[in-house]
Amino acid sequence: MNFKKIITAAENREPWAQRKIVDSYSSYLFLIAKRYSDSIEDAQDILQDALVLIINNIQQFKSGENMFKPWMKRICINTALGKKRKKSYTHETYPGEMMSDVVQEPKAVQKLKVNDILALLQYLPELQKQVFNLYIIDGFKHTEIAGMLDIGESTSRTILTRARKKMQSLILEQNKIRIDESLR
Amino acid sequence: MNLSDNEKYLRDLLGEGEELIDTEMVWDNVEPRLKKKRKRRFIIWWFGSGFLGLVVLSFYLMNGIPDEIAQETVPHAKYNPIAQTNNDAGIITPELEKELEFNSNNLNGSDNSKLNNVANKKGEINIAKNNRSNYDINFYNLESSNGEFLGMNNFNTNNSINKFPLSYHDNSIADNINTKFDESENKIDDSNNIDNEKDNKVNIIRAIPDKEKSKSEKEKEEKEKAEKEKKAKKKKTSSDKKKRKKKKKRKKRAWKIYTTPYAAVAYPIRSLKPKANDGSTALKSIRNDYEKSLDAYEFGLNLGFAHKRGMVFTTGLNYNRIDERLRYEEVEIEETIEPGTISVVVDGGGSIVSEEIGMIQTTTIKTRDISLYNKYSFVNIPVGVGGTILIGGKTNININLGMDFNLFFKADGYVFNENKDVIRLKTIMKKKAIGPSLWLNVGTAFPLNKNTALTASVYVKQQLGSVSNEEYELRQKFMTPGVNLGVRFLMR
Repeated sequence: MNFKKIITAAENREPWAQRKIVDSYSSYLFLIAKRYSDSIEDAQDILQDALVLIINNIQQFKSGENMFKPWMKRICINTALGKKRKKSYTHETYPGEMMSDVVQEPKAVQKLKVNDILALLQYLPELQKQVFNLYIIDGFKHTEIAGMLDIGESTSRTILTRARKKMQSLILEQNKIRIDESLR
Repeated sequence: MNLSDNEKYLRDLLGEGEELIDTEMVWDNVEPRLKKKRKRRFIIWWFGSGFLGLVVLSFYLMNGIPDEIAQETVPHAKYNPIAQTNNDAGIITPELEKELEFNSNNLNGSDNSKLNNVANKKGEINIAKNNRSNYDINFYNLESSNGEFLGMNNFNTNNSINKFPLSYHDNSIADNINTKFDESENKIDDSNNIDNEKDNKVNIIRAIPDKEKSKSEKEKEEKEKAEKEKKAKKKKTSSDKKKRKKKKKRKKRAWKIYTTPYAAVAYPIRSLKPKANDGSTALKSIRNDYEKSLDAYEFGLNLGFAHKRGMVFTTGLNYNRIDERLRYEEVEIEETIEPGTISVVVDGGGSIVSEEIGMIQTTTIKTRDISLYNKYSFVNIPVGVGGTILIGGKTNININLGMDFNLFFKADGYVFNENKDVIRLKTIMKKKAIGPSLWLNVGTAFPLNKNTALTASVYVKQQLGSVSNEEYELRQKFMTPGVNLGVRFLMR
């Protein structure tokens, strides 16, 4: 089906076009939603809210097909962040002691599957998880992240450094557990 | 952006990856929250058909005024007591479920032979309840199947209730029934026929009301309804609450379109001014003397365009009617001359010499009250502008000011000239349009659901033009304060 035709039909509120968008992009958006949420239920809610926003505002999308996914991704992330913002959470306080340096094993992460990484992300404090997702996976700059999370640019850098270290240690730990389990 | 190999791997893996999800379930949750296709056609058809219906109804009402308005007189009670109750004629209550029959042999009126011996008669019948047990029965316009006129009002009797079949012995029967009957379409039900004398039965043809649903059917329907409601409640999940919150957040449209079918009653106040200082002053006083009452009603369809900031533009179509009742006393003088005393002159032998018969002249004066109805009909296009103000943070008050532009006007009825003769109104008041009227409307709306509200308002309308034309020596304008009720539907 021609992409342009679907978008035009969706702008005209044609149900078949709206359904097509849901069918084609739900899986893509669901993974993004999962990265930013604490539970499957939360991720489903984010996905649904994001899809409603996308389809109801489809007339605002003016670019070509290659820009559709990034446009949707942005809406999905904003929806997730908005949802988190609503929840009353206390800002994480960072312990004074630095995390112990961990020995990097270059290939360790590549042994992990998507669900393993998603599970590890859940071990990060909320703000660290958001900054890690935004910077490392979604490719936003610190300036943009500062605006999105309503924090300072330098704070964003600090949080990212801590998130990176924490993630590395989590990955190594995960691998150790795997090795131990395989030796048993 | 410096990323390690591991981080690049993560971006590739998660950034463009997918996680399978049941899209059917996602669609089911998303679909109700999506904007629906605009139903412009529906709006056009809905409003169009309402508009057309109103035009047809207006023309029906304007042209449905009979020419013989003068015959709509109410004779004095002493001449025809039944006519006093004829306003309810034609109403047959559900209590009269069974066929209403009676035996015409029981009628004590004059010349029953015509009624009894002619088959397949048709005509009109009026049954009026006099007290708890007696009825007056009147036949009108009776004719046989071949069109022979059998009489009018000939068969009049006071029958005891005992002469009616048992099915008629119900005190809840309507006090007055006036309907047509036609024996050729007789549908006598033998089960109700008490005395089995089919030949002399008069069967009243009537509309049989829809049979009421049986109790078991009603209970079944109620149960099904309750079950459906339960199921619907269960389906509501936490996401429903979120949906509601989202809906609240949705941007309001700048303009909303409403349509409001409405009806109003009003108490008209008429200003009557002579055009010149000639005999028309007398004409005014005659009109004032004979005028007994004025009443008015109005119905229509309004189309409102409401801006989110509160400004409202309205238009539509409405039908207005003002009825004026005039009453006067008609005097009829009857003079009769009858033989009276006899004067006889007798001679001495006792023989009558001359004889003279004296005549007595008797003058009888009969009076009767006659009511005349003048009917003024208007079809207007209203154009108004207004706004909504919030009082006490809760109540919305709508204030609208505008004009009704008259499309059609018709006046019919009778008035009096300087000599107090009754003359036809439309011959001297033939005016096709009467120009604009100014109105002010203040009201409020009570929401019934998301898209519907009950509207109530008070209004006052002032005609700027006279309803009489130049030939009539009086200028008459109406001011109509009234109360308006309607149902407002949000179209988009």
